[in-house]
Amino acid sequence: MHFNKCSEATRNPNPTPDLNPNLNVSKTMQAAYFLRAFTVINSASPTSSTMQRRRSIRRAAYASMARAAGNRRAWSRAVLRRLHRGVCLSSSARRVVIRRRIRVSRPREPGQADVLRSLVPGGKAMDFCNLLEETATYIQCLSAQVRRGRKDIRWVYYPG
Amino acid sequence: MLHCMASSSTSTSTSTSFSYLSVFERQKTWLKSQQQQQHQANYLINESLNSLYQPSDSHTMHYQQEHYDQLPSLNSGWPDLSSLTGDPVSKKRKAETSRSSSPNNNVTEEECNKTEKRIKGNAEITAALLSNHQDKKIKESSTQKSDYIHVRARRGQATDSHSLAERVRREKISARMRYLQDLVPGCNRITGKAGMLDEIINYVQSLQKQVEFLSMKLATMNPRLDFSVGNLIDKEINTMTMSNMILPGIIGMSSEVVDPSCFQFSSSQHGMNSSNADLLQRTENSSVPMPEQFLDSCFNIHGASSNWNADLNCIHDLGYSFQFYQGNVIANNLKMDI
Repeated sequence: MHFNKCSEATRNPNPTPDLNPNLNVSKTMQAAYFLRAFTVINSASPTSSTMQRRRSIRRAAYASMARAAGNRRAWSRAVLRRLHRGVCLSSSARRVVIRRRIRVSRPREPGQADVLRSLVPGGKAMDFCNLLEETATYIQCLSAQVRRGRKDIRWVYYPG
Repeated sequence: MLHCMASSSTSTSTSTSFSYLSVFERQKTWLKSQQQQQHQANYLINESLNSLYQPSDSHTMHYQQEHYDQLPSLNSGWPDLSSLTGDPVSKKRKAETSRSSSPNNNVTEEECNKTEKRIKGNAEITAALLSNHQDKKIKESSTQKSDYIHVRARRGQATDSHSLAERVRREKISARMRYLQDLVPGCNRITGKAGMLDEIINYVQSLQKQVEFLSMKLATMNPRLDFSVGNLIDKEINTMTMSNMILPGIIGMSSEVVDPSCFQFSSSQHGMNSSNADLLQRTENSSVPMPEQFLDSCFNIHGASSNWNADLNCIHDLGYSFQFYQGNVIANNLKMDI
């Protein structure tokens, strides 16, 4: 995969522990990764259907987001795990994956916490406090992704 | 009364300064009296509690003494208390064993809190100090030991370890909710966790739908992008990571993680364009511009170098956008096979 080549570059040796990661770097990284994946998709499969292309583009968007966020965030790790697992299962021999569901009791969480857990990737294993933190960074990355997507479309429509 | 006022009005010029002084002096004497009251209160409290209090079980909470010593105005008020209670001890969230100090600690601390509050209601100076003091509590207590979080019970709140842990957790959650409130647009008026959570959920769902919609749009309009720039983009990413690393003070990345594969084209490129000079100076690293030169030479073949430089500047300003490709790729209808 093309992504592996730049995996070392994204791993930040000094991770910022605060809630506000340095987004300037990740924005450009995100853009670059998405661009690359996008062109790969275009060049690799010109005859595939729109549905397949849409799905692969969406996967590329999430992958670029997760790759830009790096391994510091639980949701980025979960996204990468999910994508990696998807690739492996489809290509190589099928191995039965037994997922052990561990029931964790949580003290007095609001009702919407489960909904939020289903939305944020990797949210099932976190307590409410960390879930909120992950939601914050996830929202930041998603909004950056949406802004970039809008710019792309504007460019494609109005290249001049 | 009127006589006094008349006399004061006649000699206003001289009396104003005098009146200010008198007010100040009055405040000072009042504070002193307050402190004396405090002395007496402490003494009385200690006496009464010594006779009344009975030792409890091993899960008593012990509080820090040093905080009281730091208050300058109350300094004189506390020494007798500190001598009574023995060595300063900090509470542990998971404390199992009690220390060997006197068992009067927690109760006397509560009483002291109450007297503190009474004085706070009266004097403004001490009130400011006390508010600082209470804000400092948790911060200072949390910096002492790494494995436990030290919390102090406030006045009127339960001192149980479970409730304290609950309170810490609640405060963390509320801090994060406030941060999320800044992130999600239009949440300023909503108060309460439930409403906020609903808004957050809606926002995340809408963002995800937007990403889906945009990807669908990008998928349908693909055939226009008629170039294969895979390797080019690889180089671009490498240069961006390098330039991001080199830009001083912004990012703390180390330059050792530079991918060496990007230098494989350096041998083929020797000539340095004069238009690249400013870029080279900006990047401060002699090995970085090689791939940029390569890219530049690629575009020179098609006669679009000036646009390229301008757009590279955009990238180095961290304002990356797709406009970078506009002038070069689509307008010239390039097909680049590298």
